[in-house]
Amino acid sequence: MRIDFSLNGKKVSTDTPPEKRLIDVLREDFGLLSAKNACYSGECGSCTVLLEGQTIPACQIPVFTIRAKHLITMEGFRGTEKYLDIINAFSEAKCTPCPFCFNGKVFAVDRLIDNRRSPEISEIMALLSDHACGCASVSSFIQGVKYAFQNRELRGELLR
Amino acid sequence: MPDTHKDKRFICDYYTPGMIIIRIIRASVPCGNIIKINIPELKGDAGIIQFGDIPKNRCLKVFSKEMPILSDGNIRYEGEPILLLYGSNEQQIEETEEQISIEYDTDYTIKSMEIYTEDQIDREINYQRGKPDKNFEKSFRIIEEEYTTDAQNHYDLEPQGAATVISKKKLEITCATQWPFNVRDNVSACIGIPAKDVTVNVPAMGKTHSGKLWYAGLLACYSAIVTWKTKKPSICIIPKTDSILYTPGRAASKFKFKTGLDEDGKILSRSIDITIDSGAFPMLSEEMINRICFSAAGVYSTPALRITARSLITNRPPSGAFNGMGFHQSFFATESHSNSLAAAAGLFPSEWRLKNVAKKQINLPMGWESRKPMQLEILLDTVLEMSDYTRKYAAYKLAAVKQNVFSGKKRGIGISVCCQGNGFMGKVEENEKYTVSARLDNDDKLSIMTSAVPENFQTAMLWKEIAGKILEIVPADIKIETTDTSLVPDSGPSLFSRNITIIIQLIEKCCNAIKKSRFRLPLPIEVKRSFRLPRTNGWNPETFSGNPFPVVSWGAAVVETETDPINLTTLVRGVWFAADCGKILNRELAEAEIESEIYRSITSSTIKPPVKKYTEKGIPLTPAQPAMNISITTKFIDSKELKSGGLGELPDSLVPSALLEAISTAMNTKLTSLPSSSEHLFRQLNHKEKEKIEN
Ligand code: FES
Ligand code: FES
Repeated sequence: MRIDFSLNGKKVSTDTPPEKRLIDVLREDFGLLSAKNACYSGECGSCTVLLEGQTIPACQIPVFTIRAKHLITMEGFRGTEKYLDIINAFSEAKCTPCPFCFNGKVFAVDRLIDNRRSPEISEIMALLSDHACGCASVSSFIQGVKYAFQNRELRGELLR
Repeated sequence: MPDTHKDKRFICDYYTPGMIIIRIIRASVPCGNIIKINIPELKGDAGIIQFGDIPKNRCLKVFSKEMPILSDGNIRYEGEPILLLYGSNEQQIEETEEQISIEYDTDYTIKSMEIYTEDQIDREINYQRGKPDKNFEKSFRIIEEEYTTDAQNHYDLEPQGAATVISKKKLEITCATQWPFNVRDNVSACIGIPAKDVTVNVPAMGKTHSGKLWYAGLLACYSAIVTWKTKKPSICIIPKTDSILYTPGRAASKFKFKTGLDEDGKILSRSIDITIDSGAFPMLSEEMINRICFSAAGVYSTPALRITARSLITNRPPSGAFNGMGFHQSFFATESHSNSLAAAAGLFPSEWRLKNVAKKQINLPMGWESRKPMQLEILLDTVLEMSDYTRKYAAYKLAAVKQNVFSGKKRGIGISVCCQGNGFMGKVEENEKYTVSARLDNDDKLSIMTSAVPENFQTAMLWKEIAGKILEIVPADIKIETTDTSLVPDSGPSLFSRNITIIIQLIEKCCNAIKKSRFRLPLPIEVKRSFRLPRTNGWNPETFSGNPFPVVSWGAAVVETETDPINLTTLVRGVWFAADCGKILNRELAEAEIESEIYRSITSSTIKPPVKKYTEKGIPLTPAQPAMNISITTKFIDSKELKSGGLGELPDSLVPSALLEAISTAMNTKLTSLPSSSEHLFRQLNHKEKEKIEN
């Protein structure tokens, strides 16, 4: 089945079985490897992408559902100001998630700080719990999220 | 933050369409014999590999132990690989997989740890120091207890796997492993080609907790066999359920203690009976049982000691190293028992520990001597003071006894003390020659060559910082070549904090040697250094005497909790942690490591993961980290050890017993098994209540 959609700002098209998982399409048909295929159960967040601006687990989405929609992966998110808000904040807080969970964590933080109010610690902890790898420093992550919110606020993005 | 992540490729990133995919067909019974395998007609390029199709050596070798690469017809554990199904069309493979059926003769008794027979014993240790029986006779009181720990699985996000291509007539393996040379040797043996014709590349890896020590070699053999047969690139990645259920996890254990105390509460005599479940293939049982015995009596002065320990072969998946390989189980049991000893002696757990910890090296339980003086009292005093332990313990204990169970949240506090042995227990390091080399090139750029795999990229950063400091080079000009066995020397397996204790020593030695000749010799200069265990106080594994580890680290911790008596959930209010682990190379990284390990340990001590057998793809299996923000205070005391010791295993040796003691104090009960979930606590309280009514 031919499926047209927008991928990282470009119009693309793929001929693929409609029920194929979006994560497999992104990795196999487009060579985009930032979203990881870890649990295939919507549990770990490693495969997160932005569909119409909303974070979704690409392992749970059959590819036909993204027809004519806008999809952003980490490859497209990188380099945006929103990405820089987070990555600079992580750097300042010395928060160093490994490259495997990086994708899921960055998108989750983006979603959290987009809520236009300073995130509560319990919300940050709940987020971490959803992306449970258990090997990154928790306090630096909490600090990183707070800095990321400040960065976004400073840019005025949250006020618009 | 430098965006270094975008080029990192994990094993799952090595799949490209058209590659041969390998599926492992596993046993669905825990023991028995295969009677018949029904295979449907294979379509396209699909194929099957069974035990007899393995070209040469059909066993995987780890040190002196072996296990069949595929079942030889005999099933030893549920999940044992029976055959490999491969092909490039995933859908076809999935359909074929569903049609394969295996018939078994299962008229066998399942071997377990609970009731075992002599023939299950893989290795036994009978150790005695002093005269335990005589000292028991002299004892003022004798306390007997039993503790158990469950098997623990790996919950890493990143999948395990291996890929193979043939390039220039060589097998090129990409494998997420902590031990590339073991993978190379096993692949070369099973295919029957010289080791020089196999190269192993290590892709990016997440934190391993020793889960990728030898199991990765098995997956590499699968991929190598298929590529060898088909002459096409292949990849074998196991699904997350398989990785949780079948990769070598932590061994279950049972400890029976009998301890005699004098009138003051000091240990006079001890006898410890230990049983560990090594699973179907005891690949690492020798090291594991030695480490368990070594740590079973804790760090206390013990004039007379008897240890009887055995590792059993059972119908469970093989056990693995899993952080510490035995220290975790021992310290949970022995430190929990220490709390009972304190109670029996009418002392606070802190007081009892201060009274009993070994003050001199020669007083350590098994007679082994640490190279440098220990400072256990200072460590204990440090955590006691930081946490305000004594006041809190008195208050919480009183509240637990006096108050009604349901009158508000219950606070509790627990304490523990332990050590971490860095490196293997002597023998392996003595027998093998492990090497690191470094080369300073014409452009003043440094390359460090080692097959040691950094457990996270912080470790790699640390290596660069250390080398950079010696040679006055910025880390950006240092490259660490760890990824290709044809380019790097064999630096041994990466576990037991060897990356900190041994590899760093070798990097320092190489860099210092380069520094010496830097302005005398023309560039490039290449230097190689190998590790030698100091000969002094040589370790004798038969008598457990001498000095087993190059460096020993020490730690103490206090954990404070608050338990809701209605739903029995526990919140950890604080953890205070003190360590004596030699030279601290990077305080920030060390603290981050301790913090993440504390969280991990709390999760695994209180949550029993909902591991079930699922047949379909897509499994909710990740035990979520507790959503609590724990206040963690860490202090490193001034060390008498000049070398760097590891510290990553200390939290998981300290936290479980302190945490369960805190919950036990709060709820006026005694938790004796690990993990202890809310459900477990509920059952225990119920049981206690029933007993009360019956009496
Ligand atoms: S791979 Fe999609 S959530 Fe884990
Ligand atoms: S999986 Fe990324 S930090 Fe643990």
